[in-house]
Amino acid sequence: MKPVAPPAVGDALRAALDSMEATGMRRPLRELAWFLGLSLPFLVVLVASMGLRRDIGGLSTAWLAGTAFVWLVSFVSCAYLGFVPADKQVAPRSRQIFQALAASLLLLIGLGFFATEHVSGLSVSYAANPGSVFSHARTCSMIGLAAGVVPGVLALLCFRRFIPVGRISIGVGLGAAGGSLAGIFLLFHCPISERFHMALAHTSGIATAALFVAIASYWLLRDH
Amino acid sequence: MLMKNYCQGDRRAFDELYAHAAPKLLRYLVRLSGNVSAAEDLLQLSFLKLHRARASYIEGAAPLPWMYTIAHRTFLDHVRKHKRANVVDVGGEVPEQNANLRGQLHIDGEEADDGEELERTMQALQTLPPSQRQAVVLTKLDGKTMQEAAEIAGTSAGAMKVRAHRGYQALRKSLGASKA
Repeated sequence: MKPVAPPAVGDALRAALDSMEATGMRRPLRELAWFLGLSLPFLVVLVASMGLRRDIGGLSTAWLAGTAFVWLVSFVSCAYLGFVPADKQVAPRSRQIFQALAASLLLLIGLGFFATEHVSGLSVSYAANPGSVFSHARTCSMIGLAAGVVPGVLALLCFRRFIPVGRISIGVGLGAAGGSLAGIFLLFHCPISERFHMALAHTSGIATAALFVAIASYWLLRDH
Repeated sequence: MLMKNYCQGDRRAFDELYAHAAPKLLRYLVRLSGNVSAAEDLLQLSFLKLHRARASYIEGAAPLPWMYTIAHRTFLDHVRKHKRANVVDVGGEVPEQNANLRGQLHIDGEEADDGEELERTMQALQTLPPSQRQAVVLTKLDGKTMQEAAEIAGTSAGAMKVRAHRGYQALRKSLGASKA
């Protein structure tokens, strides 16, 4: 095939190039470090301001640490996939972000359903039926969404200049990470040990925050 | 290195990058849109977006797949705005440059370098869904490997293979029907 001469640079592009200044390049690992570094104090502030669950003294340390660890892995892995593309790539790893979201949801729902702890006289439990589960879930679901959205949206605002194509995927990753962070907070704050509540209300923040931050990402970064 | 220098404000680095990438991207956009004039506009818009987003480049990353992705997203935005892709003008001889831009297709072992055949092929290409059209253009026309095409499209090599296969089958069926 004959080589094709490149078309002339258009006026708008030429004008932009004429006023071009040096710009930095993206450093995904540094962005991730900032995100993790600021999210964890946010978690501490949340727990400090809203208080620890009343049954925390009676809970098994191994259970608490193990469950918190799983939530933390979900938080870090979603954040990592959201910020750091594959080797030599600029666009985010969209497929893996959605896989991580699905895996986090499945794992944490399973954990909440099958691995709960109850401290007699201190933990809150009730006979599970659709009405009771829904009425008890509302508060934790709202907290999960609100607390989950904050880190993600703040990250979008801080790093919007550096967000490349694939803003929706990145939004999903950041939102899922925020929702996982909210799950850690709920683990230390909410005394309800009923398994549907642990499985669904506490994990709902992952999905709702992911959706919300993805929408926010689409709108905030739509000129990118 | 070029992209890094460009990010650091080197105009000559941009000019070199443009000279290298613009013909490839233009060819890609022509094959997607079926219209040279629209493709040229999309190319300029793509480079403008690239220029505005250059701070999001990661040192050491391959810039070309990223540029293809920006070009493809620009094309999709164009399609959404105009509801349907432009169709190639039919009739008369295909100008040499247009034919060169559209490239050569092999369908059923026959090279479609005849002007009318090429026009028919390009029209058939426009009837494919954007994802299949992209897959066919990248793998069959631009000569990208499945992995390269998958990276540009932001999907897996397996999914790209399926799209390319379905697109190619649909293209053959469409061309077979138009010949009959």
